[in-house]
Order: sequence, then C-alpha cells, then structure tokens
Amino acid sequence: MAQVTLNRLTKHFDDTPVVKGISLTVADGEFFSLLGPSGCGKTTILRMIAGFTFPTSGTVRFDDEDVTHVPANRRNTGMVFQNYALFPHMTVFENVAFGLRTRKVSGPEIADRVAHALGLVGLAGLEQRPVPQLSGGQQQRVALARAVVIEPDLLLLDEPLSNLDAKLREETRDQIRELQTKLGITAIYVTHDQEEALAVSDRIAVMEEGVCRQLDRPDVIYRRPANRFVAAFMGNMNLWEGVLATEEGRPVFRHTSGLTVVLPKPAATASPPRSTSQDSLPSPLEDVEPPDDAQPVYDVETSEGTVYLALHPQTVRLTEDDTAGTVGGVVSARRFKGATVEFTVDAGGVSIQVVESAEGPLATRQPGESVRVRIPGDQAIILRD
Amino acid sequence: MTLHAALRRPRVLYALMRQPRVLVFIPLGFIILGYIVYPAALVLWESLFREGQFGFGNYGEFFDPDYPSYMEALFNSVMVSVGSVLLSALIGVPLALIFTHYEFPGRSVFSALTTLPIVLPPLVGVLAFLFLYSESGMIPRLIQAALGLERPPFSLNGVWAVLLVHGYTMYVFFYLFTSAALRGMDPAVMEAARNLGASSWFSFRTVTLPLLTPALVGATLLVFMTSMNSFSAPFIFAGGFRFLSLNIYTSKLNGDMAMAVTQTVVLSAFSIAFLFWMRRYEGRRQYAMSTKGTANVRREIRGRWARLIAGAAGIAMVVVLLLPHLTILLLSFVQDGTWTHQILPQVYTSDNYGRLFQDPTFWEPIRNSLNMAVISTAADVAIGVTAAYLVVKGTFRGRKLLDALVMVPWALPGTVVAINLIVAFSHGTPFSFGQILVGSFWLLPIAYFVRHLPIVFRASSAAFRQLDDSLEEAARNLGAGWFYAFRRVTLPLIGPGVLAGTLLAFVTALGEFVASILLYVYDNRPIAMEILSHLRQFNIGSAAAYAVLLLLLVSVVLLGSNFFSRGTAQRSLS
Repeated sequence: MAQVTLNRLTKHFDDTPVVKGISLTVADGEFFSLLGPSGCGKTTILRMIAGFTFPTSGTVRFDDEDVTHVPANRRNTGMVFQNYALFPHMTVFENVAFGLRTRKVSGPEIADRVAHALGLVGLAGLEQRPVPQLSGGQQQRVALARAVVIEPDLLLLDEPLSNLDAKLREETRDQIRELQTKLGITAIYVTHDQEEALAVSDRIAVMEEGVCRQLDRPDVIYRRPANRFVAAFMGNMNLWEGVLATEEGRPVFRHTSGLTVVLPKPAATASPPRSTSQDSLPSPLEDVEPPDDAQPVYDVETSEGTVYLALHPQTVRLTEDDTAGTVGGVVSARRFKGATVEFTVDAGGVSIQVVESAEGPLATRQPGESVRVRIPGDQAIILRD
Repeated sequence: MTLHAALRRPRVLYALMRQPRVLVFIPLGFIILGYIVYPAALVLWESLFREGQFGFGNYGEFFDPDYPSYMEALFNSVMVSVGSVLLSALIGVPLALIFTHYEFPGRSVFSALTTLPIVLPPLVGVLAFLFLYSESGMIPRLIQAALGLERPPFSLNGVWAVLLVHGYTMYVFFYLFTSAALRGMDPAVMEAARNLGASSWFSFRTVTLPLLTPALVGATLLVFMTSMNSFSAPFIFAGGFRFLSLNIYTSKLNGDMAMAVTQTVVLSAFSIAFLFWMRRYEGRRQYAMSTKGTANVRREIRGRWARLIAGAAGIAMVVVLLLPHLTILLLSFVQDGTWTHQILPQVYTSDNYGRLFQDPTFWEPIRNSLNMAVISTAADVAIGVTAAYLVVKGTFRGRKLLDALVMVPWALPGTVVAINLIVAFSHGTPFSFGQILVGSFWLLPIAYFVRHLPIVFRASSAAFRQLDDSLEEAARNLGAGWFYAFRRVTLPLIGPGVLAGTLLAFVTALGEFVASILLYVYDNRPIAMEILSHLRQFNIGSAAAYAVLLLLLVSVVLLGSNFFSRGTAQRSLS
C-alpha cells in the first residue's frame, strides 16, 4: 500500500513533450484513473510510475521514497497490460507464479498463493492450462491474478479492458474494482473510456496533450466539467458558443444564433435545484450530493467575450408548452436506445441534444416533426475555455 | 474418341473446368516424380547392389570397423556441423541482441553490413579466406613481417579453417532469425517480467530465451544442414581430413559408383533424420504472438567510454566482414603469374577486366551461368508457386505428401542431388523422353532447378499463407472478375514474397558450385568452374575477376530484391 506523488513530471520523446509537468497525489488505497484520448500522455505517466521509462524532469515518489530512477524490477508494482503480456510459453500457474519466483518465495507458499490468487479471479482449476488456450476474458483475469499475487504496493492497469467485448468489459470492470477494494491496494487505472472511469474511480484526472485538464471525483467531473475539453469528453453534452449578458436584470447566455438561455442568479448556482420535470429520468445527477467544493460557475461582470454553455442532454426536455424557457424546433434525428430515446433538434441554427425516457409522451416524435424544447437554465454550466 | 472430340462435348469440358487442378497435377506430378522421387529411389536401389549382388555389402563396407575411413568422414561431417552451429550461434545471437536492444552511432549501417557474407557465393568466400588467412595468406605474413617473426604467427588450414569459414558465412542465419524473432516479440512481455521483479538476466533466461527457441531451432537446422552439405570449404581446406560430402565426390571421380551412392544414402539419411528431429521440436514450441502491447524501444548507449568501445568494436567488425570482399577485389587486379612468394601482389593491371571486351570466350561462363540460372529459376517459379498454391489453398487429400516431396531436395546436400541425377539419367528414361542427360547441357540446369525448388516453394507458401481469403472474396464481391481480382489483389500481395524467393533461387544458381563440379560439361561450364580452373592454373587475377563479376551480379540482384519487396511489403502491411 502506498501513496504515490508525482511532482512536476515531464517527459520528452526526442524533442516532443508528451507529459508537461504533471503534479498530483494518489492517496493510499485510492482507485485513481488517468482518463484521456490516445496520445494525451496517460500511458507514458503510467510507464514512468512503473519504471519502464524515466522522466525528463520531475520526480515520482512512493510514500516518502523517491523512486524516480529505481529500476522497474525493484518497485513492487503489479501491472496489467493492455494486451495482458502473458508469457505465451508458460501455463497459467507458471505465469502467476513468476513474480513469486523472482522474489524467491518457497515452493509450497507459491502453490498456496497462486491458488488463492486464481480463486480471487475465479480461475481455480485452470492452473495447468497453457495460456494461449484461454479466452480473452480468462487471459485478462490471469493477468490480474499475476499482478496482485505479489502483493504489490501499487496496482497499475493500462487499458486492461480494451480487448474485451462490451458485456465482459462491464463484468471485469466491476471485478477489478471489487478486488482492489478487498485487497486495499492503491490502483492507477489508464483508460480512454469515460464511462469506465466514472464507474470505478475514486478520483479521475482528465488529460489532454500532456496536461491535466481536471482532477476530481467522478460526479464532480461529470456534472461540473471545468472546461470545454472535459465537457466534450464526457459524452454527448450540448456545448454552445455565445456571450453572457444581462436582460431585464437577469443574467442570460446569448447563443451566436440569437437563442438566449436565462441563467439563475450566480448565488443560486452554488447548489443547483433538482430537476422538477414531471417525466424526469433517473439521472445520475440526482443520486449524488452536490460537491463540497462547488463554486459559482460564472460571473456576468467579469465574463467578457466568448463563453460556452454546457448542458447535459438528459436535463433538456421535449415539451408541448409554449412558455418561457422553451424554444421551437424540428427533430432532425432520432436514435432509439432502449430505455431512452436520443433526439437532435434543430432550433433555428442551434443543434440541441435531448435525451427522453422511452416511456415519455413525446418520445415517439419522428424526424421532420415540429417540437418545442425546454432548456433548463438552472442546469447550465458556463465555461470560459 | 480423340481428346479434341471429347473437349467438344460440353459435359466433359464442364467437368474439366470445374476441376482444373486435375490438369495441373499432370505436369506437376510428372516433374516431381521424375526429377525428385525417381532419382532418389534409384540411388537407394543401386546402393543395395555390390558387383551385381543384391544385399547390404556396400553398407557393410561403409560401417566396417576395420576400415573406418567412411565412418570417420561421417563423424567429421557431423562434428564440424555441430561446431559450425555453435560458432555461428555464438556470433549471430549476441549481434542480433545488441542491434535490436541498443541504439548507438552507426547502428543501422553496421546492422546492414552484418548480412554481407550472404552475397559471397560459396567458392568465392572460401577463396578469399584462402588468400587472407592460409599459411601463405596475406594477414599471417603481414603480421610476421611487421613483428619480424621467423614464421607466420598463425595460419588457417584443415578442420579449423573449415569451421571458421562456416562461422563467417553461416552466423548470418542466426543473426537474421534471431533479429526477426526479437522484432516480432511483444516488448510488453519483457516489461511484465521486469514489473514482476525479474532481473535482466532472469527475464532473459526465463522469458526471452524460451520465446527465441523456435528461431534458434530454425537457424540451427539451417546451419547444420548447410554445414553437412558444405563442399567448397572442405574441398579447398580439408587436406587429409575426411568429409562425407567430399568423399562422395572422390569416390565418383575414382569410378566407385557403388560407394558413391552408398555414401549418398547415408548422408541423406542423416540429413533427413536431423530435419525431422528438429522439426518436431520446433513444432512443439511455436507460440503465436498476439498483438503488441508496446512499441520496441532501443536503449541508447550513453557513457563516453561505452560509446567509444561500441564504435571501435563496430569498426573492427566491419573490417573483418569486408576483408574477404576487398581481398577478392584486390586480387582481380593482379597480373596472372606475377604473385609468387611476395607477401602482397606486386604487379597490378586492369587486363583481367580488359579481356571482358576483347576475348569473346571470356563471356562464355558468365553467359552459361546466366542462362542456366534463368532456365532453372523459371522452372522453379512455375512448379514452386503452383505447388505452394495447391498445398496452402487446396483442399484435396495428399497435400501433406506434396509438401514433403517438394521439400525433399532441401534436406539433400548438393552432392547428393548431383549423384541422384547422374544415376537416374545415365540412361534414357520416360522422364527425359528417352534421352541420356549425363554429358548434356541439361543435367546442370535440372540440378539447379531441383536444388532451389524449395526456396521458391517456401517463399510462395509463406506468401499464400498470409493471404487472407476474404480479400479475394471482397474483390469478387465488389464486382472484380477472377483475373482482375488475381491481378489487382492476389498478385500484389503474394508478389513480394514470391519475388524474394525467386531472386534468391536465381543468385544461388548463379554461384552454384557443389552440383556444378560433378555435373558440368564444357558447353555449360558455369562461373564457379571457370574460377576453379583459373585457380588451378595459378591465374589468380583472372579467377578473382570472375569472382568480382559474380559478386556484382549477386549484389545487384539482391539489392533489387530488397528494394522491390520492401516497398510493396510495407504497403501491404499498412
């Protein structure tokens, strides 16, 4: 068990910077995710923590020990590789036992611990199977058993689920989290899948081009993305460009096309009211407490120039009312998702993403039909970059 | 009913169109039976006759404990082959590891030069070593003169010379096989070992080495066979030392055909047994490497001293590797008959090349070699590609047998192929349309064809194996006709592989020596024989000039092959 501290970590490949001064601390026992698109430097950070590459500058510390230049084989980390990197010439048992052999553990103890680890991942009885004969999911779990059997201070996971099919991915994801909680190991998880990161992490660092764009709890990142990049990365959020203004004493967001969204007074946004729509969805927003560190998200007076409005599509509603806070448009696309239906509504040059419950009265609207859309200004997030 | 009439009947025509491979099997079977199976079977049969008496008399003589000369030759051949394997591995494997894992100035140049010995045709390489390192060679005598010694400090001859020549020419196999395996290996597997606490040595021993096994087995096999098969090095260096391949030649020269065929059978049996033994081992330990987890990263050699040492070692290596080539080039400017007891040749002239333009007979061996290489390679392509297609993509029974039969010549030393053909075609056969081929122009190109068929066959099978059937189906689905799909999809994809095999067969035929020395006649004397005959007359300059021309031909073809196959191969991969 260890606390991991990165201090101004940078890495250049040739002259190209891939990691640009990352400082963060992963707490003991925490499940920490590095999330970002490919090429954002997340794997490079993981590899520096594992000791496969060394930083150009900055330090890596495990607890109070500076391990920046400690060789990979002396760090006591357990890593699960994207392609598992199982030793193809060994059996399941030999693979899992490998790390114990390098630690000169006695034979009977190796047998015990391997059996225990394989039991943890549900592979008991497959000890003598050659690795190439296993399915992808089984190989993944052997890799996991191999990484945890050595009782590492730190569990490193490099996109461990990307080679599995969708159903298995969710199952394995939950299994990894369960195992990590049970063993109480600090885990650092690299992924490009925001859903995966949101589901398992205690905290997430969202990375872009070697820089950390937001570091917070999953719920905060989801409901209060700090910038456009994070908002866009979190899924199909509405993200509109415009300016802030004051209209009849109320702060408003004015879209470049002319659409205005009335915003609540800044003081009120510290704790946004719950959605009160009659056909409300069980949105993840409603299951979580507002973040402790919630801050006023905008300030009309200081927000000169272009700003961006981010709005989760499930807070937007189709409606038949013609009241304030609604806007008329035409359905341009409809995607049935089972429990929900996703609409794209074209409202005079603004493309609005709407997620409706499939049971909702207006969920049957088809492309080409006219609808009105209620835009909940109190749910809007104003971003400056 | 004539064939013509039969073909006019639509039903017969239809049946033939549906089963076109039936037509393919006729020439294929005829050639494989006639030129591979029948000669080998006849040799086996003839070895069972001693002075007209059926029995094992010849084998009795071979294994006679009172006259151990044959056994000794066999033992020496095996021991030298084992030694060649060890020496080649000792040079080739570390080089591959260094060039794959470390980055230092000039790495790419050095790694390209590492394959230089491959362009040396067998006889040419041996000659270079003879003039460089033998008792009267330049290097020992230069050292002697420089240090004022009474005698040369060392000289190469006998079994050590053979071993050294083998090491120099054959380490390339270990180098190439190991490099390819290392490049194909998933670096994440090594990282996993490090992550789990393994030291460099532990992870090399428990992970890298086991994963290299198939490559090492493959290279061992190739070096062992090439070494058993080696003729030119023992021919020049062996002196009184007996080698089986050389013994066969001597027996044939002495007119003792019975013992020549018997030794041929023993040598073949050993080669084939070794092949099967290694094959089984190779098959058991083949791992399909899945996707790569991380990219290969070369560790840069930093520290000033380490760089200096690496640079010095690199330069020393280049000198050793290039010396044979440079020696041949130097000797090609020596005026014939002027280099006798001096350390270095004294009189230089360009006459040896001048004859290229003046003496029409000078061209003859070159023309002969080119002609025979073209003929034999064309036949190799026709038969080899067809057989490869049938073996890889076909569904008929007997595919394995076809595979094995085409590969038989690979296990047969060149001497054996030659003896087989001499025995088979010293009288008219249906396969030669009643002609006696011994003493004719044709026997040598046939020998080239048989010897190099496996090269084209293997390259083509590999290409066909990598060809995904669904690509052709996709082309057909998009409306391409059979021929269009073949021309635009199949051919570009298999082309580089087939071409590489074809050019390799071609250059090997150009420099062929082993079968040539047994089968050539004046009308088709190839370059290698011309080199040898000049050498016997001490026309060192002329011999070397021919060797340089041969080297040039080989280099040009190999460079072209590299150029063509690299471009297309990369396109087909991306």
